[in-house]
Amino acid sequence: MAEAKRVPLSLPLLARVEGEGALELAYAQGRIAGLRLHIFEPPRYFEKFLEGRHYSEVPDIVARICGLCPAAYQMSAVQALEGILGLAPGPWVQAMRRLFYCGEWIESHCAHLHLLAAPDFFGCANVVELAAKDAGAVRRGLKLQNLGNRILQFLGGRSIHPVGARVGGFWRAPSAAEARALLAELQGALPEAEALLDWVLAWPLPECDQAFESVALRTETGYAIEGGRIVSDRGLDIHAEAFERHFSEHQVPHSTAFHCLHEGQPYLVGPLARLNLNADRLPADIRQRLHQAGIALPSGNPFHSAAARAAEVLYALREALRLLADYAPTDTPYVEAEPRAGIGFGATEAPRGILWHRYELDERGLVRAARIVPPTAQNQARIEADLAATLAEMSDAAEAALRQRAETVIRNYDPCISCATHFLRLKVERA
Amino acid sequence: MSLRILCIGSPFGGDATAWAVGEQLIELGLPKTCEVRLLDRPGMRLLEAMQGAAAVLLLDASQDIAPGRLHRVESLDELQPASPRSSHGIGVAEALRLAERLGRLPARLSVYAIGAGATLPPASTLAALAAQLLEEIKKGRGQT
Repeated sequence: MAEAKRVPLSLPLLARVEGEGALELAYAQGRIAGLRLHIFEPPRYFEKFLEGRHYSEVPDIVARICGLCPAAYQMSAVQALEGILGLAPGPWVQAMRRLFYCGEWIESHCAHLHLLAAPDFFGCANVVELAAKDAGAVRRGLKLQNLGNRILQFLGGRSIHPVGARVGGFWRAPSAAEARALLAELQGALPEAEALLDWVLAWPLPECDQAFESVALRTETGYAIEGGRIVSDRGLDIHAEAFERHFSEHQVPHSTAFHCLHEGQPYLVGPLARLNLNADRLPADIRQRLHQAGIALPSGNPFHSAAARAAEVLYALREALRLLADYAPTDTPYVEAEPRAGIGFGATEAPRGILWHRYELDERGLVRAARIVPPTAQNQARIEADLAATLAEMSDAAEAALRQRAETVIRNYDPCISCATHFLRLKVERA
Repeated sequence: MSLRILCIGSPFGGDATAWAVGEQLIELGLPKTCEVRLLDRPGMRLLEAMQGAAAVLLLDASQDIAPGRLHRVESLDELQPASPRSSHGIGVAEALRLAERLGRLPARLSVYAIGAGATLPPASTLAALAAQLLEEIKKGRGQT
């Protein structure tokens, strides 16, 4: 290989992602000779913090891992812990957990679409510039995001790091009057969620076709959110318990976040993976609108993730309306359990993809060991593969164009680097 | 006229200065038409926090000002952009600019920066800052 001619490019930290990192890119003879996505946020040790804690403390602790998807952490945790404790919460709890999760999808997807992603497709540096071009879209996005937060608040007491969820159910059942008020707000916002999907489907998303494995949860009926079997478009079909036999995390020198691979290969989790595997479970009209917009499923264009998010916002809002339509409070919003030793597993669909938890409890109900595999760790190797494919043809591109495209690719995955261990300083070498 | 005082901060060291001053204001006894809210790194939630208020006084700690000093911000242009490390790159400046673009700034907004160091100022300094702010509020300066 020719000696690399260093072309130092000093670019700021990546804006508009949750976290910090950097990208190192080297071209030799016009081809990519090296590409490394650096995550340099320090490890957060949550799994160690959980050791020795009573199982009842786990939902409140794991909610602190992420300000954007705390409910996901709580739901994967309670699923795993209830598996150990032999708890089977009834239909009220199951329905409210799905509602809780719908709120988080709406909140997180709307934050991503409007604050982070959309500026890339409108030639804007940030949402403030976007608001100057399309104030109505930004107002709508913030309103929908706020409604997602209202759902989280309804069951969680507050939207950031909610405290309403517990092992066995929820601490309290909201009143019928609270539910009626929320239902009215959600009904009023339905046309706006429909308009959001139309808006995103008109974005000038880049065309590309990449080969990757999509991995998501799937259930017998309905669009999988708060549980299901882990399936892929390459034949995988396992219970959460079998995750460690098929997926392995490993450390790479350039990142403080683990890379998780499926049988040694990168794979995709998140909204597009869900859509690729569960499109048949979406309402026909949503599928039809995606189709009319030229999105054929399964899709190999990672940028279709934006459309998937908008489709999921609409779906989640309709689902929330369905779940609240016949709401009645209950005197038993949770079931109690006796401590029991054992090992349990949980997998739910966080906004960014599968969130897998494993807990080992002792006979007093204290956590002996915990393991958490967040979606961003699972997508990291796929992001690098996408960057390699996308940037391969850009060896002569100007610094600004390279950075813009690299950041757009990374943001498209909505990486929560804080969860995975924060992002983009770009260093380019050309020879 | 009613006034909503929004104190922005976090539980960490000097970043909690606006919270501490807000608590001092309550102790000093504010006019009944004033309410104090302590906000933990609100980002875009600042828009919600301002919603429905005709007059807002916003307090935030700043390391660009000498600790213990109060500075009235005369223009949004004075506000520093968020650190790239902040959540989604959205800080007070971005949230206020977005509110301005969306026509969602309160009819009356005043912004005060409080000089803060790595740790909370001593109680005497907090009391003096609160007293100074109370004077501003009584003069109506906190509502313009």
